[in-house]
Amino acid sequence: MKTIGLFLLSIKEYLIFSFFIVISLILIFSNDNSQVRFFRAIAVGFIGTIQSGVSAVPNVFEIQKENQFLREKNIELSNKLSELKEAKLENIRLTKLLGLREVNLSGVIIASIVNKSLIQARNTITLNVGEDDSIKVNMPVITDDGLVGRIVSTSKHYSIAQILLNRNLNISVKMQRSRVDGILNYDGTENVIVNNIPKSADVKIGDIVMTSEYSNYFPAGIPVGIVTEEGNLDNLFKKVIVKPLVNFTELEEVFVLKHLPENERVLLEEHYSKK
Amino acid sequence: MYFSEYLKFAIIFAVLIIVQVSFVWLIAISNYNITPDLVIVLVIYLGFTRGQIAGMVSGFITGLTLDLLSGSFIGLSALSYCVAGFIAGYFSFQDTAKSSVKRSMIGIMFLCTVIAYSIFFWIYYQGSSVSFPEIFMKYVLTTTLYTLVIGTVLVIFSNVLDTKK
Repeated sequence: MKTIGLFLLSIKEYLIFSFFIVISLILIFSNDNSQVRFFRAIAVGFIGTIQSGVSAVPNVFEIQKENQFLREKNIELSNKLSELKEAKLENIRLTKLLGLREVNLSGVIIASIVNKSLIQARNTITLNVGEDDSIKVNMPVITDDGLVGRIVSTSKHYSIAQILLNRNLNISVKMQRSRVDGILNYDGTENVIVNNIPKSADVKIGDIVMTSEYSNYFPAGIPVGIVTEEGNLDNLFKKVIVKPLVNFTELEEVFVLKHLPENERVLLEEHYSKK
Repeated sequence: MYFSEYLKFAIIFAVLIIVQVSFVWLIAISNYNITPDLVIVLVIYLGFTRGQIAGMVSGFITGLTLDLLSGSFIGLSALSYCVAGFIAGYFSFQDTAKSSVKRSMIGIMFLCTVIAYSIFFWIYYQGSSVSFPEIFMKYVLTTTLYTLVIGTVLVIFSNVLDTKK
């Protein structure tokens, strides 16, 4: 102990000098001027170089810990990526739907499909909008691609719509190109057929089928499908098979048009049919 | 050193600091504003005559005082003056004949001042486009030489006093 004390005493000048140098440097680096910033930059660069050299030496425990963290982060980011992809697809669909709304003068209600049911060729979809959203029976349901169907039942918060692939839905349609009229319905197997088209009518494969003004339930001009096959049904009528424009298997969001049959017209037609 | 001696040097330092801060600009030379450093002369003298610790402590305290008075770059003068006091103390003549060593005091003062001002101006001009040789020629050497003139006067005055005694 005494030896250490004597040794320290013998170098006291150097110890004091070191102490003053350290204090001076601390004071200098506590300044905030351009010179000190320059030194700090050099110091940071120097320390950074040393640290980058040290970091090249692998630390097994740190690597294990980091690996675990990165795995967890990877899973988290994968989940987020999946969510973002889903959101992007939804955004694209909604954007397209909104684009349709802008050109449509009728009021529309955006709805999401919460259920699809298939009971003996009576395909329906359940929507997350109902009477509280001004949904009424017989309102048409569409997408940006074309006609989906019509509302057949409502509750306060939900509604059910028949889609084209439903045997109970008959739609008055016409060929866009040749203006030939017909009645479109589902045959219960895999085809949507346009009936009542005379054998001599001008119908070609690729013709666009759309709703006609004769329909009580649908506004005229909504695209329905494309003619994929045409042939003779019998001596009087043609058999025209149509592929719906809407892909029902991928359908997730729809628009309900605030369009209802005109009461006066319905009453007049009912009155006449009773005679 | 006795207390009275501490007090004497403290008073001399206080006077020199006031003169350095308030009046030395009156004898500044040229556009570079070269001035003699009266305080460092006394720090070196103290280190030279009283040893390294006295030189370092006085250098640090007076340097810090000048830094605080100048209001910028706190610690820079303290560092350079402390180094000057330390080097001067290294050549302290405490154990040898006064007269023989005092003759070499001017050379030691030159050495201490050059090193102290090299440190001071090198740090002071960091980040600027001025190179160290330019700093050395324009500021370190000129200030050192100007200070040395004052130092020489002090040494001569000291010798005269010694002779009279």
